[in-house]
Amino acid sequence: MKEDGAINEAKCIQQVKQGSERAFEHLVRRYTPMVFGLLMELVANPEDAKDLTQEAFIKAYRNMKWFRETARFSTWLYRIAYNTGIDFQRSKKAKRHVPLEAVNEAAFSLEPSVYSGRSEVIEKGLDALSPSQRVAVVMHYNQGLKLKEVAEILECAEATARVHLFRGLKRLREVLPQDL
Amino acid sequence: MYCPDQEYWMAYASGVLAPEESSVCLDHLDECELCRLELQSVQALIESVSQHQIYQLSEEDIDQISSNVMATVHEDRRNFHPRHRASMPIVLQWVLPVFVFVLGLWSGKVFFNTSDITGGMATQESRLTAYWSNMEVLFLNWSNVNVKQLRDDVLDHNVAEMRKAYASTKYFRERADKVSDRELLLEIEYLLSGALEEALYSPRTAFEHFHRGVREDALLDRIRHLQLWDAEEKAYNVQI
Repeated sequence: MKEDGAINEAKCIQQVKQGSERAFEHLVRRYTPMVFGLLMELVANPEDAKDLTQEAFIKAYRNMKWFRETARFSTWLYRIAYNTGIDFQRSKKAKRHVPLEAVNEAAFSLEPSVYSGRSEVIEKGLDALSPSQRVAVVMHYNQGLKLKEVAEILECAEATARVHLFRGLKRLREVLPQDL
Repeated sequence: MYCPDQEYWMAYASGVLAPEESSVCLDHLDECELCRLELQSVQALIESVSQHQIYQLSEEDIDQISSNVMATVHEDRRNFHPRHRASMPIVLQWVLPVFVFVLGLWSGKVFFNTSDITGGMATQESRLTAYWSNMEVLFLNWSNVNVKQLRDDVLDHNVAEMRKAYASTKYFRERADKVSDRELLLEIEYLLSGALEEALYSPRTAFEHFHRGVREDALLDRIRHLQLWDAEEKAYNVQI
């Protein structure tokens, strides 16, 4: 994607609005990893996340005329992806939420040597968060989004996003080993 | 200062605390080893999350997602309008617009027919105009009587013209030659003034009466009342 990075995003979006499929393909390739990552946080199943990534991009394309350049395209796209993931969860009535006991058990059952793959421990901890908390924590701390952008994705006030973040961290502290 | 609980440091690290609260935290940190450790622990947690390897897609996966999306986009662009037109049943293609057009005409007609006479903003003058217009329609339907002219005839006591107009109506034709000049004058005047009053004070009712056919009976009732009243007046005059 590095060579694509030179392409001006605003110009690219303008071209998409004028009907350029090529410009949209550029955006798809550029944002697929991030959108997929966000959806994995929500649905935890790679195949579902791939399908939902496609769905999110198609929704974005069909609604491109409503996108205003005053907002960041990535945030707008994340919001579409987030809503797509939430809708999917609702339709499946599948809760990703894992009981606290199960998480603790899983985390502490890991051998210390596995901590090099501590990602797995973090993963288990993240499983214990609500979708909003999880998205807030991952998007802010892991993806480096500003709280304002997180709030836009979650469609809430910035103060609320901050509370999601705080509660998410608190929950992580509860479920993860203290000596992490 | 007592050590705050760990939530306090969590709040500090996640930026929930107000700036003045944060400064208190920092002051306390200088003198408390336990809180420093607690904060370090929270920061380590945040660091772990930030370094957490997020799910990665292979280039093949990205290619596949991209090509699937673009295939749908391409199909959308190519087929969107023609497909919608083609998939619409032939009946809907023509009947629906015609139905909508006729519905629009009809609702417009209803609105403009009723708005003048029933609208709250209508002035008495406009009500009168509407009244005359409706009376005209009513009488025209019956007999091509010019109601305005008839009204003038009543005011001028032009009995011959009134009789002629009366004779041309469906309901009063038979009476045209039977009633006296005075009765004719009274009947028509009552007929007109009664309807006029109704139109002035209850235009909606008058309008509905005209269009439901109730009006004819009401008029005939009034005429019967008029005849009774007239008979009483005659009897009274005789007594005098």
